[in-house]
Amino acid sequence: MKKMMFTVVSMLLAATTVLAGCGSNNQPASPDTGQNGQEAGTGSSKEPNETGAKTKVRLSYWNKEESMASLLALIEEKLPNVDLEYQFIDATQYDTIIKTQLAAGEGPDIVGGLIDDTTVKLGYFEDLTDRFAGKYHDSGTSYVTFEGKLYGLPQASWFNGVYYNKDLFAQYGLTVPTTLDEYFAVAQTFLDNGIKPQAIGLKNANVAMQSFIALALNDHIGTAEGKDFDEAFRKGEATMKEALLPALQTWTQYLERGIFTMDMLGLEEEQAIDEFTSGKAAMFQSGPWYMDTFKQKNPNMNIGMFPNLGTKGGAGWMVGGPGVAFGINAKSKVKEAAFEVLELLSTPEGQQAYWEDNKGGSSYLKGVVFEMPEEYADAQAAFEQGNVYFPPNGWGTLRNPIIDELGKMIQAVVGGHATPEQALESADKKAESLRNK
Amino acid sequence: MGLTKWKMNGRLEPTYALLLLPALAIYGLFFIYPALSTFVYSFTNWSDINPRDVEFVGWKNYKAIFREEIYMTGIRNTLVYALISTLLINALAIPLAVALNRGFKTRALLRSVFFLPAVFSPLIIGFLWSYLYSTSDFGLINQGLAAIGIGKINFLGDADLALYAVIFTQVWQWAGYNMVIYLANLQSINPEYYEAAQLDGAGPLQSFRSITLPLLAPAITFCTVTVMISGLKVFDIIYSLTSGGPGHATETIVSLMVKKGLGEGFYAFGSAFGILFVGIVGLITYLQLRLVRLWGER
Amino acid sequence: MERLRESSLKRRFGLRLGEAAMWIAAAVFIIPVYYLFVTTFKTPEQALLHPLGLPQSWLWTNYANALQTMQFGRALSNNLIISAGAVTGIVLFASMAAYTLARRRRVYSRVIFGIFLAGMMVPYQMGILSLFKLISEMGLMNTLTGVILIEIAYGLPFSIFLLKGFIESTVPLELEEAAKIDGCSVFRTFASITLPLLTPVVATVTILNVLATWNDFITPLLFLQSRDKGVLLLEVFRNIGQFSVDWTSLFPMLFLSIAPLLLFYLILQKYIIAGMTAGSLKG
Repeated sequence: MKKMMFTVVSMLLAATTVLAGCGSNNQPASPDTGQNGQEAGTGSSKEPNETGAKTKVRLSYWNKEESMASLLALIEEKLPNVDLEYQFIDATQYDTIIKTQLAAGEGPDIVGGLIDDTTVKLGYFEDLTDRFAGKYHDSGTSYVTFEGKLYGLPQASWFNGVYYNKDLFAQYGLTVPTTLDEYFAVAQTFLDNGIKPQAIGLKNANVAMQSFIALALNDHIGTAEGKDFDEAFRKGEATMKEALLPALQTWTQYLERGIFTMDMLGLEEEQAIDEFTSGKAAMFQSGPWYMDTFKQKNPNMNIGMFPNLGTKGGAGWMVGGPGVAFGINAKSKVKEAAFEVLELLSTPEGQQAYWEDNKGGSSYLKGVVFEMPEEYADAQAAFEQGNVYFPPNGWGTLRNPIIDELGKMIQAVVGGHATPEQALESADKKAESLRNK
Repeated sequence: MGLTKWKMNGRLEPTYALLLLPALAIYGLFFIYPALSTFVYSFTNWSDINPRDVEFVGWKNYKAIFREEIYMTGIRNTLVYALISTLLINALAIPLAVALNRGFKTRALLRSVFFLPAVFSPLIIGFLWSYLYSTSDFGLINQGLAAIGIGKINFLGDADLALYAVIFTQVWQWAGYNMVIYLANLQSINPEYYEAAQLDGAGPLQSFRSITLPLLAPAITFCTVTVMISGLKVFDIIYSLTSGGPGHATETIVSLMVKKGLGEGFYAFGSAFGILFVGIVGLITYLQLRLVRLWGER
Repeated sequence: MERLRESSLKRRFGLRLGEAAMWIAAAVFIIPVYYLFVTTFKTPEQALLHPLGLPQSWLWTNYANALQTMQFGRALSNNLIISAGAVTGIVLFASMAAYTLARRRRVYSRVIFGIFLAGMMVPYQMGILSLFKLISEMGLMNTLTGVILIEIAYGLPFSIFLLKGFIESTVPLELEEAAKIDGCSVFRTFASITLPLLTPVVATVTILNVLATWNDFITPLLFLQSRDKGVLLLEVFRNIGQFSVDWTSLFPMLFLSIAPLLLFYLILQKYIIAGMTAGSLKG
């Protein structure tokens, strides 16, 4: 036994020397060239550039690599000098990790998101004005422009509405609802027939928050009366409790009517999707990024989307806005290559490649128009009125912490552990402490 | 003689110190230094919006901890978590060890089976159990409950239940690991004690109480203290299983420290919270060691 | 005579019964792992209909896909480098330090041991920002060396604790003194007399640290940014984002990320448990 253990240890020791040896071979003086440069030289027959080495550019973003596949392929094809490495970090950890890196003068060369007045003031981001000003519509760039300077390039807009199973609607003779009351009537029909009206993965705090914010958008933030709420909230001149309590109280009807139940607090988003695609649930609030998943899980499903509804009438609202904005890390050692990537992205071809895996949104690059897939016909009126907005985009640095807190407190409301008043108070309190940081 | 010995040791002292050096250097640089600078930062106004012009602000950050209700929730959850998991893990590990110390033919295999969950990363355990616990039709445990006619239990979605559901996964994961340590202790107990007790007419339960348990004192000390410390530091499993939800029902000290101290950019506040926490752990460990010692002397 | 045989029969029966009961308990205990394993071979429909049944047809495509998406070979080799490097460092440095701490009963050694023990109470998340700056300034960011050094620092306290206890209680001082009188240097004595006697506890320390470094996910996540430096758990994490699609394709990834460790465990289980037994209690 002793002998055996010793053999194991010495094996490990031996293994270390072998592995350490090969490890150090892989790390020549410059980390930017090296292994990948060699690969490029041997593996690809495409025009090797003078040095034979590619510049490695790192891009971080919180969506999975598949949602970037076409763009990455385009970059590989069009920019042979650039080896773009995509780093996915889950949204829940993204801020923490990237901010920690930026604070230490490290981090990816191209950063998705995180461009706000604070990070810009701290000098984390490169000024993009000279090379990109005027290429994008202002409606997309306003939230990444500070003191007249542009720091990020907004990608195709995202939105979420309510997907519905057309076959189930037809089976019970239901028409697409246009008000919240009609929605509740539709839901009741499904409940009476033993079908879940709407699947929702409330275990995820962000999902819980999206459902509420959709109603808040219809009933307050998107109305004439509430259009200044976001700015006022950011500055501390308005509270959620004063502005959004009626909306949250209305939202609790989802609970009273048995559409959302406590059970759903134990459900992940992926599990909710399974319920929707298997026909156990008739509706599901989300955006185009899940379309491929739906088709993959149930190729025969007929799907449509209508906007999120409220009690004030109108065309309804999509929760959404400019997609992620990509900025350049001011500390990047390969800025020129990073600029090349962003320039490629700012061509119709680049926009098309990004859109390919995020179908449904619209581009902010001037002169680029995408055709909306037919699934979104029922939401057309809302789009035409420009009813696409994501309130947290107006909250500045409060954005992510408040999204999380609001979502968590809505979970608590669903679980019966907080009243709507307490939920909003708690978010206000958190906002207050963030403003006084 | 005494003098020569002293001289010899004195001459040897530098060599001994040399043996300490690599460990001390690495530990000092990558552990002590960050911890100490955290301590210093805990008295400043360092944050993500103020990363450079850091100033001392005295006890401000420490006072702020006690003003926010959620941190009290976090501290309470952590204590509940640590206490219950310590009790359950050990209450399961001891009988398992006693049972597997018997002359079963397959006991080696059985030990391996019970130890197995300890091999997995909490990340994997978290993802796996979130499927097992799910309230969807795909959730294995609820499928099983339905099959025997019990209704669905909302393990992770019910705020009153979620923390205990998390604890359960950790009992499952670590009971076998601690069992092995108890086994080691059991094997050091002289079997003659049991034979003598049997001759005196003691039943199995009685000899467990009067022989096994007292002689297990070293393992009990070791296991309860280590499980308690890692319970107080719990983060990974919370992160992968509930992310602190639903609501704030499973938020723990470390999960809050990570959220506020890193994610929300309150660096100095997070540092203060961390330092306070180390104090709590130290105090609890000290009390626990005293308690176990008292029990051992009795 | 008769009665004695009867009681021994009874006892043997009781033993069998106990063993059977333990196997039932073990079966229940192992269900989650079994479920993870069989699900990896199923289609979603199969998994839903017969969650615990054996797969009707063993579906290997799940694995083929997972191996590719995870870039398994590369991630595995990074894992091996980190674990081997860190564990070797821990075992070597911890046993050297533990030797001095066990044999020198002076104030400095007590203080130093106390500092190491205190480290066990500190959650590693606490100093992470300062550590991050440090690693960045040292130019170790995004290198396996950096991660290995951090893992060594994390692993030292508990390992020193185990080793010191073992040396004090098990390694006879007489042998060392004899060697010293023969003129062996301290280092020589340690390397040739003490170290070989530490085998059981070194086994424990090795095993525990292999598990700890392999399963550590936060350190690689924070300190390794390039995908080509990533480890298995990072690959799993990468593939479970908000777009996570299909749990039957997720499970193979979960399984693959633990498979090497599982293999390590299955091959060495006897020694793992024996090593734990020898090492853990002497403290």
